[in-house]
Amino acid sequence: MEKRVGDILLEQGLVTPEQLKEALELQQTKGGRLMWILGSLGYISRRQLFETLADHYGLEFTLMDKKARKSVDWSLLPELTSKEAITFQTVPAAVQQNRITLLTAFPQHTEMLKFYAQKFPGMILQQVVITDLDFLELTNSHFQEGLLDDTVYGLYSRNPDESARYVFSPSQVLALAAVSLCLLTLTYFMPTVVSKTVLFVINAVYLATILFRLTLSVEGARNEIIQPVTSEEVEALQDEDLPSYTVLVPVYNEPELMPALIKGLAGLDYPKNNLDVLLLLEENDTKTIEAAKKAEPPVNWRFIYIPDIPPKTKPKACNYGVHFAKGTYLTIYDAEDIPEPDQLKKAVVAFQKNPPGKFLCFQAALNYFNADQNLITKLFTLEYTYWFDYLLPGLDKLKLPIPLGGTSNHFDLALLKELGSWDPFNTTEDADLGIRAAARGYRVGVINSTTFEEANSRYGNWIRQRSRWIKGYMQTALVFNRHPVRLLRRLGLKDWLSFQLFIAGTPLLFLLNPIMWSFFIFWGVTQIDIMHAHYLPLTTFFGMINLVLGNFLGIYLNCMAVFRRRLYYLLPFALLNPFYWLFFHTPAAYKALWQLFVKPHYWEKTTHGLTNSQHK
Amino acid sequence: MVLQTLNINKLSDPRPAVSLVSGKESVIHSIWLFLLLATGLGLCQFIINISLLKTGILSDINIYFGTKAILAYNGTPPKLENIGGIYPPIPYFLVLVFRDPLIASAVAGGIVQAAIIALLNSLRQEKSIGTVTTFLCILSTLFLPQLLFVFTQRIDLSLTVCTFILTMWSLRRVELYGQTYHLTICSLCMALLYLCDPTTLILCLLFAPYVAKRGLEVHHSIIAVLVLTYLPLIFFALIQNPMSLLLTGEGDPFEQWRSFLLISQHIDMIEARPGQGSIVAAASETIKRLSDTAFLLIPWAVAWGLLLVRGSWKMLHPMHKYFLAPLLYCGLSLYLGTGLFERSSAAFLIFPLQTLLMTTRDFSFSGVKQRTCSIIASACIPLLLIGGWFDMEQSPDKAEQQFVDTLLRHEPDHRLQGINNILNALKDSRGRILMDPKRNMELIFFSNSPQRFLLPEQLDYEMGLSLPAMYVDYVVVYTDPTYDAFARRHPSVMDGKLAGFHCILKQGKRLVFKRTAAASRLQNP
Repeated sequence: MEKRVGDILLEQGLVTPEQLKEALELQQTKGGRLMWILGSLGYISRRQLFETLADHYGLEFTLMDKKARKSVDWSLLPELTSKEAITFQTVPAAVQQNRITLLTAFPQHTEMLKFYAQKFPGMILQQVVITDLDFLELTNSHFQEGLLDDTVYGLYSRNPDESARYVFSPSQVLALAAVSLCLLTLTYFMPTVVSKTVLFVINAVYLATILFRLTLSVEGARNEIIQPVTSEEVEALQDEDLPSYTVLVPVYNEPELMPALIKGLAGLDYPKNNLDVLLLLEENDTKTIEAAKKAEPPVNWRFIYIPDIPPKTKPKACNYGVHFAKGTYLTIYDAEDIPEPDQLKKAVVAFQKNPPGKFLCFQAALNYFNADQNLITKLFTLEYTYWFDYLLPGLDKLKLPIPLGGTSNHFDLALLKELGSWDPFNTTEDADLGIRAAARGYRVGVINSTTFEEANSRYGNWIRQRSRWIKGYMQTALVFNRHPVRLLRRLGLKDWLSFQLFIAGTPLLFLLNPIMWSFFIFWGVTQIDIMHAHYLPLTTFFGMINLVLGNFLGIYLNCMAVFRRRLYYLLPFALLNPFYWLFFHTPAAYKALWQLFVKPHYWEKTTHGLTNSQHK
Repeated sequence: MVLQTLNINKLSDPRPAVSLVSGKESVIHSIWLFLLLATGLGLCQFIINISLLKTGILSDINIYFGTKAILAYNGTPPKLENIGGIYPPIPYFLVLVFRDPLIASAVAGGIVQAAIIALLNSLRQEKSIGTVTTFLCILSTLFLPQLLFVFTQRIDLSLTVCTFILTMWSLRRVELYGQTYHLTICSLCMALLYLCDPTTLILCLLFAPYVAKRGLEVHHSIIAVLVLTYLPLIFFALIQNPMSLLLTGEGDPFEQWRSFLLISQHIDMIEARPGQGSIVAAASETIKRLSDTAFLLIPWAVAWGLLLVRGSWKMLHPMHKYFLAPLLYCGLSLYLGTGLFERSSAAFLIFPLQTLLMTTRDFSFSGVKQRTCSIIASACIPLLLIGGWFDMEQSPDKAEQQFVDTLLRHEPDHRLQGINNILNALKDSRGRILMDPKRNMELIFFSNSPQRFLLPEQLDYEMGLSLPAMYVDYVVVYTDPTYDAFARRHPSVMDGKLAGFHCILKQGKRLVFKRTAAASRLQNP
């Protein structure tokens, strides 16, 4: 008969009776497995957990060193896929007469035993328990090549047209060349006609974008009082019924953030035994790895070492991590993120309220905890508050494609894998995924929960981050406009227009902004009568509307943004919106444009932790 | 550590969770129906416009806007002022886009008329009014002469009335709910109203205390709420001067409003603006004007009377201010001399339309059954339909009188006959024409060839004024030096004499001069 794990732990003096009692009480109220509860409370170590587990089942336990890993005979089941190994947390290691040794981190799992019984009929399955981290290292080293290939080239190999691996498609290059040639020729023969047409188109696009954003904002404001998920619905959830949830946390070169990160995610109100946290660490980032180990995260945290091959991007790391995800749902948090405790539960409710297979993802709002640090953080907070509290809800209300935020997107893991996860070559992989989901008929929704991040407080850092996002938008626009007619058919006119105005239009406006301002200032100062030569009367009228109304709306919509969270002290800074556009977005956009051609896949790493260092 | 000092709840949405609002709106379906209705009604109005034009009916506003639009596209050179500096900007924008005031009027009129019918339908659906009442109201929108006049001839007035009603509705919703969405809609409505009539700036500001009060209750901040609600209005009021400076070189935007008013009203009315500048005079003039348009006011008076009779004598009752709003608007307009309510019966449409708005659920007030109020008010409709014709026939506005005369008695407007005579006289040649456009704008409009005219914005206009024989083939003079620069420069034209020209036509107050053959030979030896 199997000994009770509690008894084993007490016998071995690994826990005190009080600690055991606490864990049992937690188990009664929230459900879950006792060992994992004890481990997540920090009362036992990972090794102790698996040793006790082995003891409980009367199995052998072993630690896998390099020698032991090398001794595993992978030829026993050559057709074993990484997916099968990871799902069952078990691999066959050796054979002796009629006995198969299985190295497992999930002993006595019924499905696993069934699987291997089928693979090795008539043989005795001898399980040897290893820790989950040892198992990870084992599978990582054996399946790495295949995993990496799928991580980096999976999307590209399935559908090259959806990958930003190459910036311009041949047809786009041809089209660009043809249009340029036409324009140059026409400019030579009919310069004023060309200038009139181009200026008309630019002003019409500006006007359309302004009106579109106004519409979205008003719709988003309409949604202000609506809570997609209420607290009553969250409270009605039973912890024991909650599905497993994977949290990916990609970190790079951020050793100082480890303690805060662990504490931030420890606040999540979700049963620890159902919470699968994967810390995605670059394999050569030894400082961060050491800091992570030193911080002694709970046992439900696992370290995934991302191989150091290009492209060195966050989506690549996340793609790699997805292979090891065990959850039904998955989310991503950055190192400095502080999500609201009930965010995961709200996401679960949101998925459960809607027909299965309809929603790929629910996006939580992002906001900043250091809004009042300096002018940059104030402007950044205003922008983000407007974006997540009004603009995205407006898109959601109108059932338009939603470009995802960088973190706090809660995915249906099965659908995510079906879509091919993220594009590792896209620097705004989240926005790209949102559009790809829409093109396949999946929706992205919003939930009323917030994750607090650190706003960039330094200009250079801000430019680096924003240039990466804008470059990603450009990449996304180029990828999905490789076959614009096909995209139009898949998305429908409304969604297609929304995509063009939002994703393609946003960087375009940033680039055009200083040019249009220059025209206006030049004309205003010199009063040279160039208007009637190069501007149609309607273009002039649109241009004036864009100048007056466009800049005003930028201010006004930022004024509106403060209401939901009552950040009224930010109201005066809304007046600086035109300045924010011209001196922040515009340089970032030009940097993005330059990088699009010279280093399209380069990931500008944002420095975090500046708030802590300045406020020490 | 950041985490320890962070109070997440404070940064998150501080309001208590509101129960989920459920319900699906067939918005797309409604929008399509509305567009269909607006298109149909717009087409009817366009047909009416064309028919009226054949009998010579075309309002001065339509001519003013139409001329400015023609000059914007085909003027030599197209003046920036004609592109963006014409007031009121919202009505003018439509004319600029469509390039034709008849089409623009029909579009605006169609939309406004469809909106009224949509409102009536929603009232019927919420059982505020019965089917018969709805039918009678719809008849009014089709046959009330003031509405017909406004939809076809006064695009500025139709948009002003429409935005006024929208603003009142949005203010009420702010008072009721006060959410950010309502504040935003209200702010946009007020801004649009201002861009149709600047008088309303003061009227809108008078509602600020109510907005602030609700803002404090819902958002716990007066300043933020007032900023959000009034920022567009204040912005558009302040931007006028810089824009005017930019577009016209003059920092006085009211020059453009004055130009508009000059066209929108007859000269004798402009010169004698009773009520302007004096509160007492404005109040007395308001009463006088109200009595002149008594039939239009009946539903409003009955509804307000009901409110008072049923016990809501307290002046602080929220509904009073909505009844007072059209009165205040009228009074303010007369006090400032902006001309909207002076001697025009059509402007008083805001009274019955406001009353209609106040039969909606948002305006229900205790002590008076909504249905009772609407039945009694709607029973006034037959009176309105008949009396409206009477009011308009007696209107001091000649354009309104002429409109009714034409509709009832098919009497053509001979004014346009005169213009046709002048254009016929100028038709024979492609020669250039010099004139002061202040009183002759319709010539540009009806000729549709502005490039023939030598106008003040052109460089050689001044030279043309001094030596017309050297620059132009024709001169058209309005024989009143107050309004005509040429008449001031050459007083002899008052006697029909102009060196180098002979008078070929005298049409009303206008004289047409043609250059003599001798003068032509001098210019082209």
